[in-house]
Amino acid sequence: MKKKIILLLCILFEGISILRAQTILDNTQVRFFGNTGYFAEKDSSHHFTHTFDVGNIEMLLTSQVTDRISVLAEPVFSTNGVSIERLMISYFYSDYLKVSAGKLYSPVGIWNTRFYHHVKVLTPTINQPAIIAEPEEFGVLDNNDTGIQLSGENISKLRFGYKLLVGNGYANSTKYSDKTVTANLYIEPVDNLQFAVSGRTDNLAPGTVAPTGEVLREFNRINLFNASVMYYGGEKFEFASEFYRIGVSTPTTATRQLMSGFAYAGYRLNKFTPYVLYNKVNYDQNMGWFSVNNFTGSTLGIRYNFSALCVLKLEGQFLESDQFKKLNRIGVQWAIGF
Amino acid sequence: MKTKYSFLCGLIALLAFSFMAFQTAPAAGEFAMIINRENTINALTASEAKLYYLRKLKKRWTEINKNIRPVDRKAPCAEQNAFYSKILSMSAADVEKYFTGKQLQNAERPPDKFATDSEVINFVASEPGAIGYVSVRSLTGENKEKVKVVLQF
Repeated sequence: MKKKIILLLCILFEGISILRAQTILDNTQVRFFGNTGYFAEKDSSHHFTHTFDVGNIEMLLTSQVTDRISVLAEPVFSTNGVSIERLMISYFYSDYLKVSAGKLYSPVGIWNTRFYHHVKVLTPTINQPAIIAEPEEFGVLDNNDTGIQLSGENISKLRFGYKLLVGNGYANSTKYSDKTVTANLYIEPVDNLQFAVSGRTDNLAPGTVAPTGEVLREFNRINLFNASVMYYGGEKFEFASEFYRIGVSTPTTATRQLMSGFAYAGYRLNKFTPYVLYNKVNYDQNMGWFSVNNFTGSTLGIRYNFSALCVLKLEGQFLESDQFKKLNRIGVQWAIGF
Repeated sequence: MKTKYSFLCGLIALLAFSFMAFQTAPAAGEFAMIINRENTINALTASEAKLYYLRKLKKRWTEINKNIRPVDRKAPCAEQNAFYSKILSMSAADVEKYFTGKQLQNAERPPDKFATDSEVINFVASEPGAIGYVSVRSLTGENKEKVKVVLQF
């Protein structure tokens, strides 16, 4: 009799486990995004190069674990290996308060929080604007942070939203540095039209290694201010413009500044969208944490949407920087999601 | 003579009935927005329906404290075309891009998709937070009792 009860309990437990596993599977979605391209470029010394580019494959895994708890994991597979772009666990208390923890995108600006970096199929241009681009594309800011974030949205008729992130910031590996605080406030008074302001402050302890390889000898404070506007997702016209001011100060030196801005505009004609992007990054001398590389870029492009998640982009880019003087480039990118 | 007269009357009655039926039957593409019977909301305007479906106004039904779960059709159909154009004012590609973007940004669950109206009705009937659209013609008899119609178009 005892054996029969144990057997019955085992069967019951197994059944519940299978049902639970099935429920989790039903609530889990997996998507993949990838891109490939071709670039031909000529620099100011008339040196011509052209290359086929294999982008990354990004896996997006989301799961609604319970009615209020969700998980997002975003591993990126590239020729250099696998990296975890984001790993986020969220508790949704109400529209006005959600708590997320893990590795998140820094809530700075609108572009950075809307067009995620490896999902090229949803990004209007081939590359992100320089200030938020990847380092190999003359990028300046670190777009990820590990920490805890409070956020809320759809507050009042203006659809006010906020994000407040406390994270490791630039000093990811230095335990003596203070935590970074990033705040993002936005409104969407009209459908698809967003205004946002963001701020971020980093306090870096002596001993922290800057991306330039320089070891900081004294405390560095990095303050960022951003103002953004974007109209995107409407029927025809779309535009975005953002302004960044970053100040670096130490106890012994005056504040040195980095100013940057970009403007994007596009017009949808059925499946075609011609667009322009202009962006600029200006540094003061001896920025310490940032390696000085003044940059100006103008892009003329057109994208063709085969379907919602399959897009072909063709761009002519005219770039100038301290690093390579002038560079003219033609780029083609084919991006897909499935 | 009597047989001919009866036949004529029958024919006229049949034609009149067919005409009336034709007049009252919902046209293809007419659809209704439906929610679960537990939901206390009784009616939505077209703009509210859009904001709830896209989870732009709220992410949860405050009345029943449940996540809003939009429901869609797997393949293009007349109801879907009508719903997208008349309520969402978006193309199918835009809807797909919108929900993919939301999934990327906040791990938001994309719409649950079903092949037929009866599957949509059964899902909405079983999931308290669901909001979907079906052809008006599918809301007859037993099906009509399972869900609550909040908007008819």
